[in-house]
Amino acid sequence: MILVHSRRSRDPRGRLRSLLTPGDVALIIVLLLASGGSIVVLRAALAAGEYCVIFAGDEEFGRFPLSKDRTVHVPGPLGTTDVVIRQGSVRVVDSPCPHRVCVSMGEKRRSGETVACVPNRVLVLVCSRRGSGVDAITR
Amino acid sequence: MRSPGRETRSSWSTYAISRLSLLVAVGIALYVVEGYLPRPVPWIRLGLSNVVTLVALVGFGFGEAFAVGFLRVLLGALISGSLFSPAFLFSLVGAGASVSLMGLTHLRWKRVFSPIGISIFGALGHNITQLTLAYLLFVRKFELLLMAPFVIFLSVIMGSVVGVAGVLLLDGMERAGLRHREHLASG
Repeated sequence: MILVHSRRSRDPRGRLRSLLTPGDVALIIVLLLASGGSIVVLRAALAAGEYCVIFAGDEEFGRFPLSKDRTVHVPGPLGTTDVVIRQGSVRVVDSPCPHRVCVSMGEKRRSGETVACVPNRVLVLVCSRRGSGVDAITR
Repeated sequence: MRSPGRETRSSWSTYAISRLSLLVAVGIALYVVEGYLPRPVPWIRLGLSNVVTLVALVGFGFGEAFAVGFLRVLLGALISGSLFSPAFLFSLVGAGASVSLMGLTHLRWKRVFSPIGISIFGALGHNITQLTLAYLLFVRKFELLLMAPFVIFLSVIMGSVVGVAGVLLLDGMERAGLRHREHLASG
């Protein structure tokens, strides 16, 4: 009985190793690396925002490329919201709202991301030329 | 009574017919059960029923795999009520590509790839064909093709799972006296 059992390995890991041919292993590794690498590259390339659209109230306040550093002062019902564009990212650094949620949202750089200061009615939307990742905005 | 290993490919013996029916039945059962498993997105399936196509191919040859694959899709669609719907078209084309690619791999590179590798090719053929079909027929958007790496990644994982299951099934069948290895040797 022992001899019969030892002929076919009971250890599933050992059996799996004897099942996988070098061709299998090469196929799996090459495909996983190629597809995984492409996913990482595509995410980085597609998601990077190119410009941001700033809305003040119901109106579009302006479009600003993320490639050029600047500070934008956006007027709202409570006062001025300061939006800083720096090294491809955009963030709200100061806003006259009570909870300052917009400031704590940090910097955004990917296409489709938003920063909103709801009390001061300011919305910053990161876009790219290929599309913002958002189908439409309703107001 | 003829020995299972000796029937010729051209004539379907009673043994071959019952074996084929068994494989198709197991495939449909897997297909139905798999439909109840929770999945993140509705159009992602594990493809478990491909196990029987793989077993048919490696154990009994391309003709039987072809028959099992198409009967499985046809009867599966009949059970799930999607016969002649777009989903059925996708299944049919996917299964056709899958069986063809697995058959080609098995025919040409039998010594290079184990059933696990063959199964990965089957999953790749199935999923890439379906993605292409979706692009050509429904969503003519460049963004859809960017899903290809994602689809390939999932195919490798699911193909491997199905491949391991297929190997275990072939192993069990061999121990149960269904001597597929003779077929393997004869081509």
